[in-house]
Amino acid sequence: MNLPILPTTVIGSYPRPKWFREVIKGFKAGRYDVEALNEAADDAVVAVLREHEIVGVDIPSDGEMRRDEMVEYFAERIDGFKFYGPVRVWGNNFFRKPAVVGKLSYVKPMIVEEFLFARRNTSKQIIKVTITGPYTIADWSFNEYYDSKEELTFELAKIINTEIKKLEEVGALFVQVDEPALTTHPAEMEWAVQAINKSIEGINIKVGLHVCYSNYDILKPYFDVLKVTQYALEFANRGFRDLEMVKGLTKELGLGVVDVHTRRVEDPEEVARAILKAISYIEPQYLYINPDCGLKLLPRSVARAKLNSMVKGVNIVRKELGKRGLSEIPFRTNI
Amino acid sequence: MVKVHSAIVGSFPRPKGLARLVSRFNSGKISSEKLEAGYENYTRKLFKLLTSSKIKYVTDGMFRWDDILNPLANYISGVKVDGLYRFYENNFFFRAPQIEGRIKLRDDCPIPVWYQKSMEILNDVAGNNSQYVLKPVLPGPLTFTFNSINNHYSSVEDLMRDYAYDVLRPLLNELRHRNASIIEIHEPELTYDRADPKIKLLGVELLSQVFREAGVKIWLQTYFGNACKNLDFLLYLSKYIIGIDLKATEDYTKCFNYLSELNSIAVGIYDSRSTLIERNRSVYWYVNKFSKLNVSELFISNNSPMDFLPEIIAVRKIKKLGRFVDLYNKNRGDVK
Repeated sequence: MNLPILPTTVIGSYPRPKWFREVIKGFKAGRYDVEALNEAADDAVVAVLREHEIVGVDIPSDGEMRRDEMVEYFAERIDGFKFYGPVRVWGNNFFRKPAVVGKLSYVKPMIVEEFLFARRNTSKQIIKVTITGPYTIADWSFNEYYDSKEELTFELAKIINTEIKKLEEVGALFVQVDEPALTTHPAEMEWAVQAINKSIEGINIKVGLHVCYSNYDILKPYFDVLKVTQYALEFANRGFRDLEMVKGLTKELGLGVVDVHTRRVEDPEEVARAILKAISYIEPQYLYINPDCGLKLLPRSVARAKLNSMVKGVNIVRKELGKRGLSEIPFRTNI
Repeated sequence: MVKVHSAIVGSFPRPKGLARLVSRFNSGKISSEKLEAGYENYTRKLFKLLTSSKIKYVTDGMFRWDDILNPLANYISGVKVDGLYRFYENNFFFRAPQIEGRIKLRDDCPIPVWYQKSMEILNDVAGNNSQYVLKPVLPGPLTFTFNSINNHYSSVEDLMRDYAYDVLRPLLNELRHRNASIIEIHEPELTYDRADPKIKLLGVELLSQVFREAGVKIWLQTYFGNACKNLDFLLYLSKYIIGIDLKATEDYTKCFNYLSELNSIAVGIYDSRSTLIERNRSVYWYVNKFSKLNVSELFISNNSPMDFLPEIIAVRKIKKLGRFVDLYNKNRGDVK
């Protein structure tokens, strides 16, 4: 299977449509039943997939419409977690940080239905399915049960591995493991990367790893140790300052070209310049283009405008690459 | 025997109700007067909790702050607020100050006024002659510098100096004029394993100079890093109250005897990054141990800002802390 050169994709989350947020609010207040909520969630996924397709994103996602938060969602579906209440993440934004209060166990598939619904509702061959990695779930939880964070992380790795295997069984082609916490405790990197490898052990589809707002100097020594095909990294937020660190990368790079924490919409030329800068360090055949991170915290119109600029910026560079005979790349599942 | 006091340091989790008000204000749905009333209401609730828990040394929960650097960074000329960066190893992010020119505190910085408002609320809750001490909180020069993006200064030393002299010093003066009796300076960077020791040394020299001139009691709070490994820097500031993160200094016995060289120490026993509630028995063990130090005052506190906890857990920890110190002192009977 081939993709256009510089395949465009998203990191995962996308703003929920306003009407869907109203339905969620109504559901919490008892005005809607679960059937109405699920129907609205389905409709929201269709709307997001269409939006991604119309803008011209090659590999869409379902926008994580059904997930309130990336750790919370999985913790709600794994036995052994408890929630005490919201914890602030930045500014005025909170998440319900879970606490591990008992032995963790896999209950049933967590995101398989999500994937199957999205696949039925898009014309695109490949959908990106995101799953939060074991280290980040452990790091963003309070541990009241396991003797060590390492033990907790490896327990989670088994659970995540089970879920990815189920995704593979039903035909998912591209799974992205989200590990924004990975580099935050450098002393834990050695076992953290092994836990991630454990979570993707025996998987034969494409596996990306997303790490953001992190010190990439800490990640770099493990580029070849991690058994993933692609690294999706954030660069726009840091003004593309650290791009030279990808020089010599032997895997694909998902290059973050739009900043998800500002409402300013980057213009396509700016995106094109960023891609050209990246191409001075990595072969374009190994480059995917995406936003820095999930777009969910932006107003929907801004998120869409940013994706639009991203695609237009990619098209500028594609024209140039076309002149060099570079128009397609293979969809790699193993590097 | 050393006096044992209860204290909280840094922020209290921003209540969801207040967060909703901030959000409504930001989207233009409520007036600034309504938001201000919200701040006052939630600050009052916090003071009621703290005073009923008999916590003697308090902050106002830093409800107006998004993180330790903001909104202060908005009131420093030469600074733009940049993208979102991780606050040390936490799942907590802050807007980094982007240094674009020579930095200087702006005249419209409202922090001293906020302190005064909080003080009035505390007096209202606890009575004017109460023994409660409200500490305003400010970031130290190392922490400011190492969490900024420097596009202007040719060296971090210059940036640190200007922050110490032209931002911190005028703020300390202004707070002193508004009758702050203790000012809490947050310097996680001092014990964190990142800055070069020479830079840390300059940091403590600057702090020492600015503190000396301030004419007010200073509480230097460190966290996320090992105090023992940075003992020389802490001893440089030994005449001030030094706050240490006990969780990050688990090997404190290695430097225990040297801690007696400090004038006062605040031991962060209650972990602001864990939902496990500390057992009285282990707290008792630590307090007994630290009360053997030859220091003039011993404070028992949380180990870092409480933004990392759900509110319900922060409340439980505060109540336990206050009750513990109160009982501890009553049972000793020999210390007033």
